[in-house]
Amino acid sequence: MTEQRTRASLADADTILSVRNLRTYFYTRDGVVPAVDDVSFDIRRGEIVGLVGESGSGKSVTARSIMRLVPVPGRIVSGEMIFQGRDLVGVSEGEMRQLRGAHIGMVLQEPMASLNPVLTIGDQVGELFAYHPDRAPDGSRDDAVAEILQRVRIPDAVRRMTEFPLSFSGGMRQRVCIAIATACRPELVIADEPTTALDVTIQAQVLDLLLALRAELGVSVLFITHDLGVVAEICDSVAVMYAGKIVEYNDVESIFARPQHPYTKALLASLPRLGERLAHLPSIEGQPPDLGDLPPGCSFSPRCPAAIDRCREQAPDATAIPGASGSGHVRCFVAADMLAAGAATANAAPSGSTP
Amino acid sequence: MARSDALVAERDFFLPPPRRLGGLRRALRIFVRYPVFPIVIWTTVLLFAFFSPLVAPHDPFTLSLSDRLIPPAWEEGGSTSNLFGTDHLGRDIFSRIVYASRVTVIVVSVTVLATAAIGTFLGMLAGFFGGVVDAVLMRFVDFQIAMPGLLFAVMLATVLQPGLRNVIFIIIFFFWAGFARLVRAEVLSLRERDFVALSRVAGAGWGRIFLRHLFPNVLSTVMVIATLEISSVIVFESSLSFLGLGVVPPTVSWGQMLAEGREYMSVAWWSVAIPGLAIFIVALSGNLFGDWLRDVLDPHLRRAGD
Repeated sequence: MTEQRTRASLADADTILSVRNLRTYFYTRDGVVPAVDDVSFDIRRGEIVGLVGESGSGKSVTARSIMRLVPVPGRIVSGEMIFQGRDLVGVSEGEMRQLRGAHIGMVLQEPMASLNPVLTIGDQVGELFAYHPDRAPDGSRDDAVAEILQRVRIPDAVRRMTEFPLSFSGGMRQRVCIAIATACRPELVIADEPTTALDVTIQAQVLDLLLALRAELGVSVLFITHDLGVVAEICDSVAVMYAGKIVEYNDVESIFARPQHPYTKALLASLPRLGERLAHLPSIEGQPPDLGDLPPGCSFSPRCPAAIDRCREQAPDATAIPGASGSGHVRCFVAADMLAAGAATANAAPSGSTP
Repeated sequence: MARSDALVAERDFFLPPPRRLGGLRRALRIFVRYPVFPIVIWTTVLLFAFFSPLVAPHDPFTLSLSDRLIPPAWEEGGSTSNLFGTDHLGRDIFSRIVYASRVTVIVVSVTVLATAAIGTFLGMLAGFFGGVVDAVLMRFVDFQIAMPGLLFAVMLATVLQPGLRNVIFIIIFFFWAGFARLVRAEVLSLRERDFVALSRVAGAGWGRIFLRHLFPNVLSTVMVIATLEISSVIVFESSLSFLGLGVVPPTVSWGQMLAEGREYMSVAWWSVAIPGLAIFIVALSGNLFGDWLRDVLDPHLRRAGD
């Protein structure tokens, strides 16, 4: 099923994290819930990968799986996550603890609740060096902390590091969280809806900050969001999740210019455009499915305008699609058929839309 | 919590600056806003305990049958040499009160520190990890709450022999569970907070999460319970001593003085009233201080005194 993608990732020495066929299931009293089901994607050095989907589509569980912090009763069932040559699925908890924070940083959604109210900002950033003594600065800890806070554009950092979180605004607190996530100069930062709780102007500042940090530190980012506007702004490639599966994965230009999956198309159609007057915004009919009780076949088929009979009987596998990254894929029979037809015509008249 | 802190700070910002007050009102206000009474009482008790031989005018153990049951100085027949009068064996009551404060200070400081440490540690374990630790611990707490404390203490004291060390042991045995229960409840809500999640994704181990993130957040609760516990410990110790199961003579304790004076209550009210009053005032100070501390440490109640 995935020969094509496996070859692509093997060829790519620049890949920081390679997630392959990850399955994280929750074993609840009411049955098994496949929150993450056969998810595969790559993150290259310095790349920002967007993970998009509705609430409950498995974005956060994917992030938690990479961190190996899946809440009970969830469990990583199978798959691999190759990070710096190690499979994160198999490493010990002690080793994982060394990776968290030092090599993989994480920014959480709620900046107001993410900081400990009784510790100063400086102490909370400096804590990282206590967790990871090998990453501690040679000189004074305070100088290092001030530098990290300046890196996330906190004005007057030397003074403000002695203050408590309650005197910081939401946007400033999220900067502190980003400072904590990047303090040890990790190779990868997972940002779980970092801008959702912020208002729009602050959102833009935080996104600019992430882009600047990528340029300064060369860090890769897994950016989880449900906001396609944000994705267009900062991501290099996008994975669209639906009901625990990645339904479409490609570089950001291809996704926005030539969406293949009907769900991606519907999501893009529901984005409001500037200068366009609409009676009401188009939305996707129906409700996202209950993960514990998925429909047979393709999970999106009950809501899909393009669904054919086969979609309701059989779950589609990933089909490679053209794109800049070369590892793009889509899970849709209809899209696959259309791609095959398109490839046939392209071969007949070799003008070549494949880059 | 963090959000409400910010709200409180914001509200404070918009309040008008406090007015200047006259002398008497200002004095009254200091009494209302600061725990003047408990601090004065406790300082006195501590001075009594540490400098007993200097403070006490008489030897508290010397019997003098000619001086039996002398009333307090302000009563008819009293004298200034025995401020609070003498007991049925002619011992100076004030001096005995002073020496007995040592037992109070030792028992209170040792038991409160020990129960706070044990209760906090076990409560944090139970709250954070849940599961078997939690189940075992909470059943034990249930058992202690359902148990008529003093009755069980009487039983224990009989088995263990009375004495200062066993009094301390019994009190610790009975008081740590209250701490554990409240700390556990606090940790149950704290562990779901995002900053605990953040410290985990930043690579913190259990020890670090406990010490740096959970402990400072339960500290205010622990301090409030600890001060409120002081009065319960004083009363409990006095009850044990009153029943003859506490400290043994020649060591003096307030409860023991109360027990000895009981027989002479009809002719010498002071032999019970004075130690009783001592217990009452010191225990009350504990509660007043605990209330004040709770108000100060709880951001929702800050400013409530204005």
